[in-house]
Amino acid sequence: MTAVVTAVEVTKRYRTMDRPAVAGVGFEIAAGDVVGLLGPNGAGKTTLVKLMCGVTSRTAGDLTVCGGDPVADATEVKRQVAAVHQSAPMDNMLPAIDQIRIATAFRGLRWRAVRERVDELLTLFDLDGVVGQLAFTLSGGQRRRLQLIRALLVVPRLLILDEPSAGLDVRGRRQMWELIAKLTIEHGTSVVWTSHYIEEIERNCARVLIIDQGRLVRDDTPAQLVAEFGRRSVLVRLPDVDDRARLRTLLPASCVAEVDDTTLTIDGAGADEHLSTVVTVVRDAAVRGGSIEFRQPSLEDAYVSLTDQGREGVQS
Amino acid sequence: MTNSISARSVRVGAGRPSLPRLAVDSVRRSGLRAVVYREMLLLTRNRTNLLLAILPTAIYLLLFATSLTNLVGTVTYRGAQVGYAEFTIPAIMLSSMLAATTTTGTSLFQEEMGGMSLEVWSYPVSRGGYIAGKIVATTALVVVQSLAALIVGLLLFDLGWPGGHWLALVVGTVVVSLTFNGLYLLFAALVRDFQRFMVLINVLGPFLLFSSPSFYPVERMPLVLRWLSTVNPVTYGISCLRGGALAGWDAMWPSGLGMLAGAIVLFTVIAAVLNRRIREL
Repeated sequence: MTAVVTAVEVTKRYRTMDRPAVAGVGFEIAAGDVVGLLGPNGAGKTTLVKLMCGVTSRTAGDLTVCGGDPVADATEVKRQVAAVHQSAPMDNMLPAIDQIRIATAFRGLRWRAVRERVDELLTLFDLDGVVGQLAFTLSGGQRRRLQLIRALLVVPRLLILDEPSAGLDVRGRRQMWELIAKLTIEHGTSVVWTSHYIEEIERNCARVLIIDQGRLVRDDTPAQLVAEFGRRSVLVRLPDVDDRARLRTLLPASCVAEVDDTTLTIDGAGADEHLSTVVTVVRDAAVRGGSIEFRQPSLEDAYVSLTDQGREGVQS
Repeated sequence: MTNSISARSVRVGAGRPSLPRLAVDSVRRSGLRAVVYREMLLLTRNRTNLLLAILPTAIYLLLFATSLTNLVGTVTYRGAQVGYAEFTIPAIMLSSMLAATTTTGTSLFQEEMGGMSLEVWSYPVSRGGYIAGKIVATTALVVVQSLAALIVGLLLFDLGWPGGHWLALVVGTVVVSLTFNGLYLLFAALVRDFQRFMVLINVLGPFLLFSSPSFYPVERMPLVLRWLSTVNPVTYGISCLRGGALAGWDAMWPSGLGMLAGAIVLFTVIAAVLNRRIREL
């Protein structure tokens, strides 16, 4: 299948930064792929997004987006790419409808040609009542939905979503998920999706790229990452202080963590090796309100584990 | 409410490694058009900006039409006596021009600080198209604001200039607007810190205006200011506008040509600086 994005040893170094924002990153995204991009704050996600959008040029390496170099063949590439940026940029003193008109002009489209599509999108995202409102008066969620409309004036080959759910309510997020799924299924649009809502990535992305400190730490499916790095945990609620103290004396300190005044979590190997001990303590404490909850490993656990490993590696 | 959008939509570049030339060229042209369109919307939709552009000029002109004209009477220009109001209208136009160029310079910062430069650069717009659009749109804004000052002057004073003088003045206004817009855009492109830029232009504006023969003939200026005026671009801008208005083409074209050459140099440098700045976004 044709690759929509091919990155080979891509590096971006800003003159004002000590270390590269993106360092030797390589990956491939095929048509129709929905790829999550995860990483802590400052990991280099937004820089990678900017590189793929052709907004900034790389310092080293090769990057091909939609068959061209996003900087050298900017106009050819960018007409096939649409992006929703994290900072929700708008001309704040212009009404919502003008933000869409401007996007239409920048896409080289005639307003008449997209008017019907715009109306459909405005209705879909519940924005038809605020088209005349100045952008700065819109709520965070409304701005985010307006950004999605700007991005979806065309059906792009590559859609880049940088924190698209920030500010969206549950309904807005679900509408967005449905629309993205529709785009990938019906049009083969590839999607790069960054989010701090990791369950959103787990739910919608077939593949995940994890980057940390500018480097690609892992490129795999969520299932594989969970199997490899996810840790089952047990949440134990013990309102009685003596019960909590007893459990602590029976388990290695390293696998017990306090969640709040009454709850402990037992993580990792501890959850499996000492399960019978935990169950015994909770059963004895049941009359005093003791309870137990088993938590399945999630992508979030895998992500935390992976990025923690990276931190430990750097520190040692 | 419908919960889905129809499949009929604008599809781009599906599965094609290379794209039709015509479409790409059309995108390039539309980049320039889009930049101009956006700048015009930003100007016309914001009534506060429009009001601030016209009001101070009108107040200046009213002051000159009453108190100062009565006080000064006439001044000597190129050996002829001219009314003080006629003499200062080009200076007020230039003052208005500097105010407008401040707005255009500030817009570069606003674009970057508000993240709009990231949005704009994600669209299929070429660097050349963006820079050309920015120059065309901001110069148009400066020209409109300067001509608005002239119209206010026309309403307040009885300006009996011949048709040729009017034409020379309008052409001069376009040329001088280009140059000063270029100068302030260059400051905005070079000075990366917004506060430093604001301090610079707020200090520079009055200094440039009053260290040139704007509101007084050069012969009446103190010696130091007279020296400074020879390296002050406002001197040549005033000479171009005043020459056009009061003496016609012959007095306008030498400084006009100099201004035009300056504008070409400035915009070449701006293009290079903006190009470098965009790469570091």
